[in-house]
Amino acid sequence: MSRFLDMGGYAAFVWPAYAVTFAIVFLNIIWARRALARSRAEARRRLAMRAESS
Amino acid sequence: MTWTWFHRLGSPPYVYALAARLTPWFAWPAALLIAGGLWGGLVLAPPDYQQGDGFRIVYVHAPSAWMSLMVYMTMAIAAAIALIWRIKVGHAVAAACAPIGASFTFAALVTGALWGEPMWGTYWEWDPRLTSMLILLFLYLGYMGLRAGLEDTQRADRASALLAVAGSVNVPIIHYSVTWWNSLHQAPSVMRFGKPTMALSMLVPLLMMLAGFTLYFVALLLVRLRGEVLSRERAASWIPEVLKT
Amino acid sequence: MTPRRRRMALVLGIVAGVAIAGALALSAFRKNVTFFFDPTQVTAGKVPPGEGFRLGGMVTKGSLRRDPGSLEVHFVVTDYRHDVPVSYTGVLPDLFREGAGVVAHGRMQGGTFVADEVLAKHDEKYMPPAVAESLKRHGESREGLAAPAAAPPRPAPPAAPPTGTSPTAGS
Repeated sequence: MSRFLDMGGYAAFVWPAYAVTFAIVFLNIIWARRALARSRAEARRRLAMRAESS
Repeated sequence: MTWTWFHRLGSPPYVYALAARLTPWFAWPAALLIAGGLWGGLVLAPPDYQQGDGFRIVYVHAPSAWMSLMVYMTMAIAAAIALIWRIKVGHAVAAACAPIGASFTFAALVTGALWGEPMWGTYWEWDPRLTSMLILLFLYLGYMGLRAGLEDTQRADRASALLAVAGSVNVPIIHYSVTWWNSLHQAPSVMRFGKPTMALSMLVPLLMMLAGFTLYFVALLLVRLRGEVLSRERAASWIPEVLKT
Repeated sequence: MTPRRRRMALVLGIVAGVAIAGALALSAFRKNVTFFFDPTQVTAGKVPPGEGFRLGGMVTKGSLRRDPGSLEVHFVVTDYRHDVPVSYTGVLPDLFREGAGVVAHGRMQGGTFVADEVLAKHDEKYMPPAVAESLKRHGESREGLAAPAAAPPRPAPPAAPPTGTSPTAGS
C-alpha cells in the first residue's frame, strides 16, 4: 500500500495531479447542477410574478 | 432523408425533456469507465521503463487535454450552427461548453506542469504545445468574458460565437504543434495515424478514461443545456409543466 | 445567395481568414517561434547571433563526462548529421540519459555550447521495463530506447553530488 502511495518516488507530483483533476471533475458537476437549479428557481419566480400581475 | 429530427432539436421543450431523460444514460457509464480506468491505470498497469510510476499522470493529463480540445470543437461547431442556421439552442450548447472546457484546459496545464517538472526538469516552457494550450484557455475565457460583458443577449451570442469559430483554428495547431515544430512536448502516443506507441496494458485504462470523460462531458452538457434553455425561453407556455417535475 | 448561405460564407471566411493570418504570422516569425535549433542548424550558423538559444537533439551515447569533484558535465548533442559539444554546470534532470532526447538553453562559446539549463526530452513511447529489455536485446534502431532508470527519482535537486546517470548494463 505504501508503495502505491509512494508512486515510485513521484508521489509529490502524481497525487496533486489527480487531486486537481478530480476537484475539477466534481466542481463541474456541482456547477452544472447549480446552474440548472438557478434557472429553474428563476423561471418559477418569473411565473409567480406574471401570475401576480395578471 | 428527413431533417425533422434535426429541426426538432431547435425546439426548446423537446430539448429540455430529452436532455433530462438522456442524462443518466451518460452519467453512469461515465462513472464506471472512469472508475475502471483509474483501477487499471493506477493499480494494474506496470510502471514505465523510463518514467516509472510517474507516467501514471497520463491518466488524468491526457483526458484533461482531450476534454479541452473536444469541448472546444463542440463549442465552435454549436456556435457555427447557431450562426448559420440561426438555431438558438446552438448558442446555449456553446455557452454550456465554455466553463467546462476552460476548467479542463486549466487541469491539463496544471497536470502537465506537475508531470513536466520531474520528467523534463521544468514546470513550464514556451514550447509550441504548451503555448497554444495557454492560448486555448484565453479563448475560452474570452468567450465567457464576451458573454458576461455584453448586455444584449443577441449581441453576446453573436460576438462570442464568432470568437469561438475563429479560435477553432487553434485546435489543429495544438494537436500538430509537436510534429510541425521543434517542441519539448513529445509527439502523440494515441491520437495518431498508425499504432499507438503505448503498451496495451497501459493503453486500455487510458482509452477507458478517455471514453469515460467523453460520456461525462455529454452528461454535463445535458444538465447545463436544460438550464440554458430555461433561461432563454422567458415566457414560454411549456415551462410551468416542466417545473413541476 | 440566400441569407443562410451568406452566413455560412461568413463563418467559413472567418475560419479561413484566421487560418491564413495565423500561418503567415507563424512563418514570418519562424526564427522567433523556433523553440530549439538542432545541431545541423547550429553548425550551419542558422541561429540568430547574440542572445541565448535552445539546442535540441539526442545525447550521443558514451559522450557524457563529469569533471571529478565538481558539478560540471560535458556531453555531445547530435541529430545524427552533426554534433555539438555541450558543457553544463548543475544538476541534470532525472530523465537525462545518453541516447535520449535533450533540450538545452545557453550560448555558443567557441565551439562549445555552454548551457545554463538542461531539460530532458522524452519520446512518446510507453512500455513496461520487461518489454523495453526484450526490445533492447533483439536490437533496436539507433534512435531506439534510452537506458532504463538507473537512479531512483527524487522530486527536489539533491544537495550532494549527483549519483551517476551513466547507462547501466552497457546497453
